Amino acid sequence: MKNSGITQNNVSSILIECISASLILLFVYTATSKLLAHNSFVFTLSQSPLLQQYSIPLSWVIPFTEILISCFLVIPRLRKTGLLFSVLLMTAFTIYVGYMIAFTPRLPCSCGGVIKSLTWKEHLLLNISFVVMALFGWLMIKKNKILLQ
Amino acid sequence: MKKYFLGIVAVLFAVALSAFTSGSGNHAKKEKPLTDLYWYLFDGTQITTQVGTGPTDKTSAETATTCSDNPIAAVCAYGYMNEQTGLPKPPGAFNDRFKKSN
Repeated sequence: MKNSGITQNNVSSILIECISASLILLFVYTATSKLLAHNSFVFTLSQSPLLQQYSIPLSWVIPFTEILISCFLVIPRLRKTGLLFSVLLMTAFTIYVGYMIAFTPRLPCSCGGVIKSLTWKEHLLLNISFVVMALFGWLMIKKNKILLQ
Repeated sequence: MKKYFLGIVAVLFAVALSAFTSGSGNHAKKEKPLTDLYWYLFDGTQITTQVGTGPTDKTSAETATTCSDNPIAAVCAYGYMNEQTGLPKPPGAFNDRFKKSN
């Protein structure tokens, strides 16, 4: 019983590490891409009727939030918080993508890097996958802490 | 240090990947190659007057108007492949546009 508990904990730890690494990869990649092509990012944000007024502050807040969450995910003690913030941020992005699909599908995506080459629907699926993944990771950490207590 | 290893690797890989892919697949297209379009001034709600008398390239149209591209300003003029008849007309499937300078 004790051995299976330890094995399960190891598997959970590995899964949480992989999920965290995937989210770090996503956030750092998109944040860096947005910062490297900052003018272009501001331009595409300004095309969105929803975000037009806030395009300049958002063009800094979004990538730095992504970087901050990545830092949380790197540090094991803060990983649970990082996963929770990941869920919230990805949910916000998913709602935005849903809005774009519903109301302004012809506008370009204000996303970073090669994600821009996805269609809006593909982007929505990608976002939902990451929301589910981050939520799963967060729940696993929460469950592991209960098991270890 | 071991517990930070995977995270740091992910960060480094992401930075390297973004350095290689930034600028590609950019949907916010830069200026299109100059082609002759019919240019019309836009007052915020409708097309007002045609710029010039026939199709012109964007640079010439910019010189003839007070428009210049500012990413976060309102639209100043629209360019169309075909001549727009029956003015004023709301912007349809335009091919290019200017934003106001202020």
